[in-house]
Amino acid sequence: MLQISARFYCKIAKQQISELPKISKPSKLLDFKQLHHPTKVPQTPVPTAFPDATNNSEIEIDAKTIQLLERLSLVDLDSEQALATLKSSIQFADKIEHIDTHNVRPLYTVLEHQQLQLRNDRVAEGDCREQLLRIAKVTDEDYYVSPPGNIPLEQLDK
Amino acid sequence: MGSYVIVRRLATQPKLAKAPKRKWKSVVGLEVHAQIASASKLFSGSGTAFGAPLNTAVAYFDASIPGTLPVLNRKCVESGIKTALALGCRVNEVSMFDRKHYFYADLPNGYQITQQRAALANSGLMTFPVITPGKKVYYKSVNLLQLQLEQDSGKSLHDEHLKRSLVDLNRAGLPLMELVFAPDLETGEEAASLVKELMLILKRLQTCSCKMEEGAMRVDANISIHKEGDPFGVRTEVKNIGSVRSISQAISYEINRQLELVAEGGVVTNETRSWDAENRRTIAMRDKEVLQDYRFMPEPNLPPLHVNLKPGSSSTNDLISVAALSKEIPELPEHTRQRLMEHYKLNAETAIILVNEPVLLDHFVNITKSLVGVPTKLVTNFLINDLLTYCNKLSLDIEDCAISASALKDVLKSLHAEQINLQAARQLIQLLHNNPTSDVSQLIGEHNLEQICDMSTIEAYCQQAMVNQPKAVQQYQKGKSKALFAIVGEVAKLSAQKANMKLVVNCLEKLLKTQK
Repeated sequence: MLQISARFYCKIAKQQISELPKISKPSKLLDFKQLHHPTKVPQTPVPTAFPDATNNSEIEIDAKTIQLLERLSLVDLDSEQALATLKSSIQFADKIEHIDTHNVRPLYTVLEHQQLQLRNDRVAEGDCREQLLRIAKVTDEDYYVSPPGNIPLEQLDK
Repeated sequence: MGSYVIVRRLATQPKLAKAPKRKWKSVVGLEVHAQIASASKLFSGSGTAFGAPLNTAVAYFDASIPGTLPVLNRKCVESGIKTALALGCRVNEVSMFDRKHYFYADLPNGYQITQQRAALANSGLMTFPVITPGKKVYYKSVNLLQLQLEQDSGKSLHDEHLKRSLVDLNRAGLPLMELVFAPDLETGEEAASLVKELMLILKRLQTCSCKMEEGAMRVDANISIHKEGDPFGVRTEVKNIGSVRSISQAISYEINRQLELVAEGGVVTNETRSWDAENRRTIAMRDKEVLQDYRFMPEPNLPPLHVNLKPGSSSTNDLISVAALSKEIPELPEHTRQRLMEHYKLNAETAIILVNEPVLLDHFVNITKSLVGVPTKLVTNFLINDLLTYCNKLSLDIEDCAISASALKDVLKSLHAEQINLQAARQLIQLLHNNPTSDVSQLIGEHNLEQICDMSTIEAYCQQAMVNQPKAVQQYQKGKSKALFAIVGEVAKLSAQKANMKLVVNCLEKLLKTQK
């Protein structure tokens, strides 16, 4: 298998960033030493506080939407099981719909107050063509081969 | 060009001419992708050299091997900020990265990392001279809405025959700045002038090579037409514009196409079209039947990017100071033009041409520095009317012309001292171009280019010319002073273009007077 060296892509800001009224609150910088638990995921099952949505009426998805979803996700939704999975996923997501998020600033990442680590502009990787080509299903010469992509119309007609 | 077309249409279609006088207006907005000049990619440590062997500049991250993570290239952020400052942008203290999803094989992750919600910089303004052949130069200002960092995609070669694509990932993950300009332009020439100015600025900043032929700069144009006073029309997007010249051609073509379509009762649809440089037209591309859903989402692997906006601050390991970078901004093209106009008393057109051709500008500065007393007008005329014209005739990029500034200086010195005339100087350009290392004074000797200033020789030529052109002599003596040119031309011919024309004119005038 490929060896992937561990890389830390962020670290705790050493320098205090002031004048960031919206995002940065220096006092809330994450201090890993203060964390008592290694994970926020409950270790034992917890009864859900959300209303059970499974009793709600069957979810209807029209053919057009299914086609769109198939194209966007490249997932084949032809089989009954795939469709059932999709519907149950929607139902699962519906459970949090009742939560009022009005005026709540979205949290994009728990690392918001961390500083993004920057890398010096130096060539340190690459040149592993044979290794990478070996994983690909179809190759030709030194190219990866894929189904046709975005092509001008006239070219298609030829 | 746009308005010119309308005038022509109205002239040939009387029905339209009688319609209300509201003119058609064209609106053009540009999106420019500039590859940031860097040694390594935006988020990985693989190389960026153009023309590297297929699929060799690909790190595990670029091939989207599971477990790899993006690490942002510091230089790319700095280059982005410098460019933003040079274009008068507001640099944002916090910017964020997003994933833009689409399935093309040339982006193996299935998404591009870009900046959508919070870009590196916004609200810039670019002012640039617009050069339209045969029209007066004017300045145009365009708002720069956004400057964002993003990854490039790989390159696909379409194999129509076998219905497959061949993918080279060398370009996947290269650092790009996307500059989104407001639709403040009207014509293809304005768009081309904007791109030309942008290229000059980015080259000065050394943040982009601007080599369109290598794909280091790509321009997409959004084009629409509407009746004066109406809201903007439906726009089309033209992609695949590969040179500065193509920009104005493609946009003029597309404006015309839309005008003609509407005149025939058609409707412009929102579509992506590709510029076909060979046949000089835009063609429809297979496109989104439904509006493309890119499913933007925050890039979870990259926390927000902070920069230090405090004045007087300096950069640290992971926090870039905008104030420190602003000190590294060199003189920008517009400033150079103003300086040329003030310091050397050049007119605007000359200053624009010199700044547009950095090699010419270098020559000009070097020559005027070392040749004291030679009028700048002589230098600029020679560089623009003779050297540049010579290169243009050969379709040679002035950057590839090997004639050195010191050789040009020697030519100008001889020209100013009237040792040679303009014809000889032009001949020297050709000789030097073919043989850049040769010595100018030696060339003048070898090719017998020296100007004839000896009065008795000139008088002999003049006498002969008057004999050859009796009609002109007669006309001149009847008071038609223009007839002198014919006799002067005859002297030029007789002397193989080598006689000093100033002396010839004097001599002829004297001879003609005494003959009377």
